[in-house]
Amino acid sequence: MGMLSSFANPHRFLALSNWLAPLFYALGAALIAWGLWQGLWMVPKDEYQGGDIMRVMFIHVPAAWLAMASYSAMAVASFIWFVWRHELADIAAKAIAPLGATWTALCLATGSVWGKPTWGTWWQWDDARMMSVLFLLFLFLGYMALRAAMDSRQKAARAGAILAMVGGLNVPLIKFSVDMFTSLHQDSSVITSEGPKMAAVYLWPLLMSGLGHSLLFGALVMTLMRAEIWTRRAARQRARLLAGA
Amino acid sequence: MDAPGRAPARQIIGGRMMDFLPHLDKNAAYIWACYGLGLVLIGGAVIGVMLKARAAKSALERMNVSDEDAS
Repeated sequence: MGMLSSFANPHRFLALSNWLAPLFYALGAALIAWGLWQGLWMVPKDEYQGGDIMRVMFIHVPAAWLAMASYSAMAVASFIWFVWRHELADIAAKAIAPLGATWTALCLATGSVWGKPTWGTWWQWDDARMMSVLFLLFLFLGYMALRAAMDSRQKAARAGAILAMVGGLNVPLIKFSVDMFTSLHQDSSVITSEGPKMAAVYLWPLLMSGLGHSLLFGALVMTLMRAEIWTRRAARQRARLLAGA
Repeated sequence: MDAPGRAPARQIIGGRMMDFLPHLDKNAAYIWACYGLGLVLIGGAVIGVMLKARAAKSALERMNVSDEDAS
């Protein structure tokens, strides 16, 4: 807990993110570019997976991982704020929401485009995987709308934290939806109890691409957190100036 | 101006561009649509975040100047 408290210091976070964010941007961009090059140019097409259309996997799957991971991170940050009232945890949860919504939208859009030539439909309303991911997008959007509707920062943090923690129940539902319910979506092929079922030639570029998306996402979250810290400092200074006037 | 007997410059450039792009099967349009969506959404997020951070930093700097002027 002591270590957590020391990390939760905004001054320390600003100093750390000042060099960590640019590093994450550079590494993330390089890995995404490498994954793109591998996915579009280098890996052989898999006729069993419908030919070249499986190349969509190198953007769709990292987007799906990030959608679930970002919501989990938002729920954990909200829990930390809820229990220990660390301001930085609230700032982190607030920063994750719009980015998580972006990657979730990307997952849904690329999944829909992939579905048309593969399954013959853009969307299936009674499909558990598709609907649970759509619900995740609504949770992100609802979180942002709820925060924006509150008239004080404390109320926004509290309402947002409760929604983020309760909505966290949807993440395991997404993961296991293809095992528990009938779905057009294929079963898990990377994160399974027996290990990855995918050939190494596809697995490594996919994992590196996923790492690249994660690093870029982390860099963007850090940048938004820095912006929020500066905004809160400016608001405090404004209040002080007004009080002194 | 294009030399006689040679393909127009834009065709050569276009041809080289096509050679550079991966040769995809009948679903090429769907694949490019997905990567295009990725470029737009992720690129948009990066630009939006950068602009927000820049605006927040300038607002704080302006506030610091006002604070110094006041004191």
